[in-house]
Amino acid sequence: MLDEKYTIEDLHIGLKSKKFSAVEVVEKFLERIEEKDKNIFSYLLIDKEGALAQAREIDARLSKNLDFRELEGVPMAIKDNILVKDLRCTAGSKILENFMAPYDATVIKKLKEAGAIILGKTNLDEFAMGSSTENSAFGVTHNPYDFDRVPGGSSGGSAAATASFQCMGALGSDTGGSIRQPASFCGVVGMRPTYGRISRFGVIAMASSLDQVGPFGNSVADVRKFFNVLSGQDELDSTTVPKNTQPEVRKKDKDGVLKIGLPKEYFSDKLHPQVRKKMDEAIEIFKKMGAEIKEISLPTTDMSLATYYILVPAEVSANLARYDGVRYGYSSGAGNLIENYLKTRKNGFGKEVRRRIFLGTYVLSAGYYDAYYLKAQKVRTKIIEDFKRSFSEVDFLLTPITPTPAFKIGEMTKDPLAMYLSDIFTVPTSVAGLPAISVPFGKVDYENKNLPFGVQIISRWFDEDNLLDLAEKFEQFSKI
Amino acid sequence: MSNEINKDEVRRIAQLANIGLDEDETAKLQKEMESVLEYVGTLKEMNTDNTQPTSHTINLVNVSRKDAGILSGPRKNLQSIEQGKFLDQAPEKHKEFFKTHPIFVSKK
Repeated sequence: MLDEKYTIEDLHIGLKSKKFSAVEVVEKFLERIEEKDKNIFSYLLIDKEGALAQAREIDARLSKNLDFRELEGVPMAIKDNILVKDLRCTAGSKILENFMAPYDATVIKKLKEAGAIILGKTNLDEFAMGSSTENSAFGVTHNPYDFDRVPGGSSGGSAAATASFQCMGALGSDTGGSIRQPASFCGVVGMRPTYGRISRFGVIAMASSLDQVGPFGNSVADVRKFFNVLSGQDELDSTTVPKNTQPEVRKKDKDGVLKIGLPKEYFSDKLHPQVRKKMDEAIEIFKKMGAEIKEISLPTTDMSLATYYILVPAEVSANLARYDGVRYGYSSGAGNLIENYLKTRKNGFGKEVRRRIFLGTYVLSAGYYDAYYLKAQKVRTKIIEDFKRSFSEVDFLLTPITPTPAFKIGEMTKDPLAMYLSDIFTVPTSVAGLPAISVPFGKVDYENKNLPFGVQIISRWFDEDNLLDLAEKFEQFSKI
Repeated sequence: MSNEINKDEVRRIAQLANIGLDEDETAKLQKEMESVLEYVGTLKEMNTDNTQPTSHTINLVNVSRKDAGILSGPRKNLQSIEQGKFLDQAPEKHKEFFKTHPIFVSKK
């Protein structure tokens, strides 16, 4: 059994019946990483000793018949912008190349307490800025389905590791689609919970009003298990909400029929014909599940990306001001204060990070604040109102995750704006703080390749339980 | 709002951001920033006269605690981390302090 993909439930049956030990499971994963990651490069760091030590502890617990925890023995990979105590945490940046995490992020503490085993840290676009994992200072991650293509990003390492079963699940972070888009490109399940559901304490900040942590898995059931462990209020992150926070119920057309909205702006001619065809198949499946399909309109969709690319650089420029070469991280060692700032930040940050800091500094600078940042915050309100209106009519929204499947390595790197545009279907929900999930739905013929593809289901704020229920049902029906 | 940035403005932004900039990078950055600013500038077409700005997407309640000088569990745990785990990572330190270049320099 250890040679093929299995679920947490399978793993737990095996561990409980002593078919295999936690140490054997970890050894098998380490072997698999050794064999597969040469071609994929999903891991930046593998904590062999730490993972085996955790596994031995779990085996000791099992032999003593201590209570069996939710994620007992589940080998996981962690995006390298999340702190794991005493492991290096680079954020994919030269400026943090040698930074050792002094403590665990709250999400890591929760995973460890639930019995999960941490195998290592995964590659990402520098400070999670990118859509392809090509912006990492330490190398490019390859898509497990075609090594010439990107795994998506910025959580590309976590998605690729989960897809190639070099871990059973992984953590990523999603600011504008950084969990959902790589999940779609790599054919795994990836979820962005509602803003505030999961603590970000110990997660390296990119754009604080949008950043959210979320899980990857090979099935919706596994992702639900991760989500249940990760969610909840944390006093170390004052933006988190109590675990029992409930969604608002639909007011209009309250008739008990599941209503799914198709925002027409997501089905324009920007969509690749093969993706369009696949979406039609997905819609048929939802109809078979008894859903009523309704075309709706989100007129602010086109404005969302522009809003996002004002808000994010602005917040980035503020958040990354802390990398000054004085307290931790890389320092140029230049002779005076200002020279040291200038050199440290020029040499330490990569191109995309610098570009965003410049843009953010510009839109926040005197004379431009009202025209850009304040304007974007107002449009943000309009975007939220748009979604609220649609959720008074339907329960969920169904959209593609991206206009095309995975693109080729190097294809988008020359034009930053083209790369930004690939996030067009994931950004609006991020701007509104909504939860959304990417569920794999077979393959698409694209550029003579057969590539994974995911559908996006978006729910109301804090409606993750129903979102996961629907996603799981869709997953089952799509296999029939 | 005009989306044109001249090179001097790019240099000024680099200075504000405390990031060094080579002269040959300036022209490229000017072009890239212009293209992104032109794109995000489309927002001005939207009427937002009676719209309040959003800084947070969910309704948050202010979190406060009693000013009692007593730390809760998670905060206490943080405070008990060995100082060396932070300080030893500093590029330069002096005893138990971070060391930095002087901020005020006297003119002799």
